[in-house]
Amino acid sequence: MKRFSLTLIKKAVLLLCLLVPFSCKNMLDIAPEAQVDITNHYRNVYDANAAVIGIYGQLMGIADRYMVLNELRADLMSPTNNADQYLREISTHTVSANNPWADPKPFYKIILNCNDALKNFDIMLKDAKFRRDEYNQRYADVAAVRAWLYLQLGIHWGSVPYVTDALETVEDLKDESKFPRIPFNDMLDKLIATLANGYLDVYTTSASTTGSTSTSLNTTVDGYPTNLFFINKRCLLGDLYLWRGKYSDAATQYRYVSETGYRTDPGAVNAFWQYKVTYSNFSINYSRPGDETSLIDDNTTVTGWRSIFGAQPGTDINSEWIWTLPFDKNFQPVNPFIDLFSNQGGRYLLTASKLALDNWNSQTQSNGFPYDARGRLTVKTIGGQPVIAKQLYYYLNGTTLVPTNVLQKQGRWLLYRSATLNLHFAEAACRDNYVDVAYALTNAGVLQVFSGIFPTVAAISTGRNVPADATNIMITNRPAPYDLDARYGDVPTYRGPWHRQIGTRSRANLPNLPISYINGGPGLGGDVTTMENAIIDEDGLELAYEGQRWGDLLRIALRRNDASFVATKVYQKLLRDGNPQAGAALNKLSSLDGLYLPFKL
Amino acid sequence: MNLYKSRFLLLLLLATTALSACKKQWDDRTAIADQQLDKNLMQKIQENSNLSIFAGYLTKIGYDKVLSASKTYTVWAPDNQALQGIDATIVADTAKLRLFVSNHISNQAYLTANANPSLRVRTFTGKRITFTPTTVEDATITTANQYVNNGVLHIINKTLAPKLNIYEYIQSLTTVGALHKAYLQRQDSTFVDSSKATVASVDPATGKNVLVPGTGIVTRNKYFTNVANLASEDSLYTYFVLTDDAYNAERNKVSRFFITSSVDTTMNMLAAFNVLKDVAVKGVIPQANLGGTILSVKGIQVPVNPAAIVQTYNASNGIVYVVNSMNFKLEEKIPPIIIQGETPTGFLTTTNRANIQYRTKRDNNGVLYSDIQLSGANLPASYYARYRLSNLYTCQYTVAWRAINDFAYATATNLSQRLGFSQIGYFFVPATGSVYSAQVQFPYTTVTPQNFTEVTLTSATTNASFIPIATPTINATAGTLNVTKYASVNMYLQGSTGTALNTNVFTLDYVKLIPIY
Repeated sequence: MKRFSLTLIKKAVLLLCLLVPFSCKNMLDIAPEAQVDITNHYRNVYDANAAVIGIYGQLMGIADRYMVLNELRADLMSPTNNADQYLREISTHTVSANNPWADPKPFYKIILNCNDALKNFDIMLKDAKFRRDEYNQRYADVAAVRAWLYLQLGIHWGSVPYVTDALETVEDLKDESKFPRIPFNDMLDKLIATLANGYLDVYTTSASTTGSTSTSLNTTVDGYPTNLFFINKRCLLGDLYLWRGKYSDAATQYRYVSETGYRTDPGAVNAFWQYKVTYSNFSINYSRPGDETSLIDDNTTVTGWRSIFGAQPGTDINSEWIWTLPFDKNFQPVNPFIDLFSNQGGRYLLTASKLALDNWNSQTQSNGFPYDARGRLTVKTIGGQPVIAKQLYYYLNGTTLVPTNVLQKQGRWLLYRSATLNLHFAEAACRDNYVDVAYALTNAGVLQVFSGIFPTVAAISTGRNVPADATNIMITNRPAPYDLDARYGDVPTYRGPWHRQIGTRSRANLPNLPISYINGGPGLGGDVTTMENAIIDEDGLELAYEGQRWGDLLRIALRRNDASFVATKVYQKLLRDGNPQAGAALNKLSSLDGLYLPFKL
Repeated sequence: MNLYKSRFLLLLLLATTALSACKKQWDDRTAIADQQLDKNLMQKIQENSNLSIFAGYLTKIGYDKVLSASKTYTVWAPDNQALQGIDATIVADTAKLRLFVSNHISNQAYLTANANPSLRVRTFTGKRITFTPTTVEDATITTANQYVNNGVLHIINKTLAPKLNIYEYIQSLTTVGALHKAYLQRQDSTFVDSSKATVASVDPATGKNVLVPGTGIVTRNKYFTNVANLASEDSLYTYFVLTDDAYNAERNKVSRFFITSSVDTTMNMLAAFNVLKDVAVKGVIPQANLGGTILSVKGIQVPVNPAAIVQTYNASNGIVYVVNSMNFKLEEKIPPIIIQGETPTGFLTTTNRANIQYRTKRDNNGVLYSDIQLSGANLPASYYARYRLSNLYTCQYTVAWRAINDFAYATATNLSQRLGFSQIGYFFVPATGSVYSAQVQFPYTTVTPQNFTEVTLTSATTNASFIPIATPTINATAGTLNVTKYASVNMYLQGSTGTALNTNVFTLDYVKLIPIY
């Protein structure tokens, strides 16, 4: 009896097992209700918009990586005692095989998504699912993000596989026979080719549209104007040229962007200062001249330099910001900078290196104060610890520097701004042998340097000490793109587009670099290497902790075929921090090959 | 059915066999391989015949149970030979014996390898002993690192009788240092610590606790708080006790700088503290290393003459030297007073913030300095910044300032400014105008551009107060500041009488008051 029933059950189970695969087959084919099937991803322009925004969303997920790789590898940032061994390895250039920061996969993951979007944009265009102008704009955006990602890969890993196919997963990339690693310069050529022939226009606030029927990407989302989300393709193209050593091409792009405001509307309120470093705003400023304690140190006063990192979007700040993505308490991803930098509500893993502080403190301001005040605004002493504050001004109370709410990690990822553009422009001009133009861009402005009486300060209104007729002064008179016009004349009234430009050093209340850099005046030549070194130093003072530093150092090292340019700076950082691995790092970085992270997919 | 049953039995049998086979190994996993660890400290001491006397003491005071417990201890056990010579009164008195034995035992296990180069280990007496890889205090470790299951035993060749600490030793002095001892004892003060007091009731009106009188009283020695805690077992000091002659000689040297209306205040409080604040030095400095000068805890050079040492004691928290002379330098004891320009306590008006500039700059040698500058539009004539100076020494001063004139609107020009001092309670009413003039007033002095050196001020004159002061305590003597009573005064830094823009600028890095000894 028992034996029989047991067999029966066994048979029943066996039968069921056989049936299950068949019965399930149809069940699995039912379309999911909560998710969009892959075949329905790209149906119209709204889907294309969602793809573009989605890619930028993913890009924000690597903000911490961008910061760690570009700053911690370089000379201005150091790990704190709280940092784990992986961050320490990045800082000392002793990266172990399983170091998560040295993993290129997160970059490729976004690249593959870009590839997929581009492939589908092509299909959509073929199927007439959106207009060609809509296609151009979106295609250019995604292609530019991809180029930016490849540039980052090239900066940190040297030669990497260049893939434009829409692969399913990063794993597929591992086949080196199909996707060989190509040299950095070859990749730059490909990126330039892709970008330069495409659509280079930018989004402006004035063209922003909202409403449910609007198909524009240029709109307002969650209170944030989206025009700042998108990478500035001309700035990127300029950077690619700069990396590739095509300085005139780079300068052409930079100059074009610098004159955006004036070109769009010469009568507009910010025509003269948009995307230029001018005396109008964002300077190191004292409300009581000569009183150290009166440094303008708040988020809202746009005349003060700190507001670059704490202001809310508006006409003034949009003249400085070129590419920035917001982190908000209301949407993902969470701001990673709080965790990296803040000692309140964060883990405080990274801080300023002693070298960075020494760099600021070795400057003397025009009023004699023996330090660069940008250092005081970039790194704040909070609770007795030096805290990188540039990324924390939206999170901390502007006065007390205590978090308004430790759970609301407001912030902003500022990738590109006027000062970045200005200094890159100067670097291109310098390498193109227009050292005086580079000097003007970095220091005192075109108007002063080309006033005819430099280094005497030219007074242009009250007590005018230059000819009333400004036809032939205050203008560079150089071939394009270096023909910068800063003329300021009152009879007849004339204002050149560059007349308010003063350079990052003047804006930071620092005196001019020695006039010997340009052999005593404009048009007399000057030593390219000396000027270039000064520009890179200025990059460090102005753009510290904005993700530019490693790239700036590496670009010079590659250009001069001299790895020691990077090695000595990293060595100084480790040495002044008292890190015993300083000597080993100097050794490792003394060859160009040693400058790259190990590439492992 | 049967088949199943037998299969089940077979399985059971197999499992049992397997388990029984494992049994021995399973038990071995916690077995103690090291036979040392079968014993506790007390057993270990008892089984050593050379420690029988120490074992007997332990049993006598009941510590045999402590050392059999499962906490961890370190015992430095003196052998029988070492214990031969100890005072019979200690052995006779259980309390004394407990104190004696406790100084040989500490919590936690300390191996000689831990003492690298040395450790200060707190024993059961609360005092610390110095433990090195080969010695403990004066004793040599003859057998080290005998570890058992509740700690470590070291066998030593001398006893570790508890020593007095520095303060206990000073209190025990009978023949020397009476005045020094009396000063330290006078510094005891008591206060009520409400958290340690007994609460009698709660006042219904105020809601505050009403304390039982006489409870919660805590004694604190001000010297320990302000200079060095000589009663603490946790810090090491080298301490110099002055004989009465040495103390009087040093006190008489400085007392003229602390003139008050009371001789007691001057001699027994101010001058006494000034002398005795610098007789403590951090760390233990053996007599062989003494000589020259060493730095006191207050940062003053202490001149040590080894020949002056009349008595030495190795205390539990340092070393004490009784000395019959200690020739302090007046320049060290009564140092110049420096008043930083950027730390004013007030100004003529509170509405001229826009005219005040606090600055940090580099001087001609690249050295950073901070200063104050008053300049700009609407700066009133004869404007001043005021500085409150606490407790100036009673003497005549050389007054110097460092005022760096880097004010150059168009071209570098001379500045004119003056310095004055007024005691609290001084009122000035001018004959004409409203220009303030201080009680001891230096004349307007030119500050030349880019002069980074100190400038000595001269030709001060005395003003009388509008409301007469019976006996003024400051005056101008020989053209400079003279202070006759140890008290606070105000200092005034004053700009010129002009009001035109850029003509009444004034500035100050610091003022230095150098006592004329």
